[in-house]
Amino acid sequence: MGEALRVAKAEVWAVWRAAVLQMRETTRVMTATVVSVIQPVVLLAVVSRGGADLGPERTTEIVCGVVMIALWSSTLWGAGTLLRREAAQGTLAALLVRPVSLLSVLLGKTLGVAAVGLVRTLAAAAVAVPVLGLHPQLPGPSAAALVMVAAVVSAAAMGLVLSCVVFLSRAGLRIIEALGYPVFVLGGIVIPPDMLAPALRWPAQAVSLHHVAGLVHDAAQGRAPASVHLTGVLLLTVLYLAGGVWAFNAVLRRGRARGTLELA
Amino acid sequence: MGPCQPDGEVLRAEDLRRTFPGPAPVEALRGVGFTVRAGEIVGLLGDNGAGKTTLLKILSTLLLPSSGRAGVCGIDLARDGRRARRHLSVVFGGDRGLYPRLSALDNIMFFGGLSGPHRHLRTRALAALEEVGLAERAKSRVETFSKGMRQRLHLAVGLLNQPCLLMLDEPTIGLDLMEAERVRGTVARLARAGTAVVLTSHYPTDIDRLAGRVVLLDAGTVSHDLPIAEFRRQAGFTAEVRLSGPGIAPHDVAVLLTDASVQIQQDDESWRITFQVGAWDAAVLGRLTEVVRRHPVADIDVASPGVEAVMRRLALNHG
Ligand SMILES: Nc1ncnc2c1ncn2[C@@H]1O[C@H](COP(=O)(O)OP(=O)(O)O)[C@@H](O)[C@H]1O
Ligand SMILES: [Mg+2]
Repeated sequence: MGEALRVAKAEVWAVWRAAVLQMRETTRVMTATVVSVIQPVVLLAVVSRGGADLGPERTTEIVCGVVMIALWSSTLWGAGTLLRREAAQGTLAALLVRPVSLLSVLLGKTLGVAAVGLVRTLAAAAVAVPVLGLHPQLPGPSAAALVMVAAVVSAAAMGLVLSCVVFLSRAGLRIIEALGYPVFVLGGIVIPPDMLAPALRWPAQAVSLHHVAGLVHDAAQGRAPASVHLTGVLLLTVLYLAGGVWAFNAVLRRGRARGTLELA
Repeated sequence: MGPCQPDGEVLRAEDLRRTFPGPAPVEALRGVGFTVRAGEIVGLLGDNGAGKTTLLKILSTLLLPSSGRAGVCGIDLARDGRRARRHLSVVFGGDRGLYPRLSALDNIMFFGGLSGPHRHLRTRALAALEEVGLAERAKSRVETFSKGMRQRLHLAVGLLNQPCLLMLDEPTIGLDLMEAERVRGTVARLARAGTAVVLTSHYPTDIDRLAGRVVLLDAGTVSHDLPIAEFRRQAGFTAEVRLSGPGIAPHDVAVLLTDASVQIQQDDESWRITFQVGAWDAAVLGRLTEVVRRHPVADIDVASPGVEAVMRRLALNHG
């Protein structure tokens, strides 16, 4: 009992320390700035230059969508490359010889990446939106918070799966890059979901971004979130997480047994 | 601290084997066993590829053995890795394994914090940095550090959680003289305080200065496991004597000393003669006195054989 509590305490502490460390590190990485700040600002600028008055509803949806893409992709990118970066820096071995699970460290780091992305993207949008003369109707705070948490958590869960894929395969980084676009399409961010070919609507249901986009849509229209999308996000996130943890343990087991981890 | 008794056994390895699979499988370890007690420093020696790093990886739970067992403080590494990791630290040589964009203090606090919540973490981190001579650079980013500084930071991280067992893989590789001396000083202090230390090194100096015992690996097996004094005796002589003087080397010395190992070195204006003494006795001393009486000997240097001499001899015997 005392032992179990001690272990649990150590794991929670590790998540926290890893999150703090990662926040500090991510603020010093250039590519992270590109995805979380420059990309959304450029997208918003492109939209506002269209000139035509989009109307408040359409504007709201576009602004929310752009913010969501930035949150999703900065979290996914950051989390998806964590394991590979640790291996490349040689810090993976240093983490594996500690008396806490690497999964806790990875989880903390993922949260750290997500937090920095969130703050940066919101700050960038808060500045860019008025400067560009866009006038979205801000969704209520609870709706906004729900959508953002859904986006970040589900992206983080998917990031964990990808992290293992990237780590296992040298082509992993390219896999992430190649996956990015189809995921956005299926997620309904690039093309409205009802314009997708019928054959693609099913796979779209398996991408949590699709449901996040649904939630964005509802929030932008000032509607209550549809339960289909709420359950969709929740279910898929749990699924990704379970898959991620399984893949992660498989990677570790394989590495320790075969000596294939790029340790030390 | 912890379950480790003073003078008790800290590490036990039994018949460890490790094969790396592949088209041409490599048998890196073929039955390695040894023990280390608290406060003991064991020097792990062996040629490149002998299996030293593989052994340290297994002992730090990074790698599973193909067969055999190992335990730290009585805790089985394969069965209860997490609990065992609480009592061990491993420092791999080199300058990787740190977060370059973060400060030394951030790095050490992070890795130290992963050993569990600790109220005095910051104080202890600063003390560890002080110990390795990095206190003034605590707030500098690691990317601005030299290789030697990074290596010392690794050591600071390794000693922060006060492990029962500290393992060091080539801790002085690439360090300058003063830095290496400082690292040796720290390791010696830790051992005096009761930490069990396993140390691999290419530099015989590290082993000579630190180790109380030598475990020599040869192609994945333990060929020697001896207290340092006994290991030195494997050199086959008790002392190496070096005479030097001005002018031309006296050529009757080899005859006088009747020793096959005499080496004569002639420089521009001086000479140097080196020979090994199997055992000090009246005859040897008499002959040596005779040389000194007949020739202008300016300096005599007598040295006990070091680890290097043993390694040289073993390499010769090998082929
Ligand atoms: N991950 C690995 N896969 C295949 N062979 C390996 C691996 N790691 C080490 N070896 C091989 O095992 C042997 C022992 O290596 P190592 O333990 O690094 O030796 P040392 O540290 O004594 O120089 C070498 O022949 C090396 O090539
Ligand atoms: Mg080695």
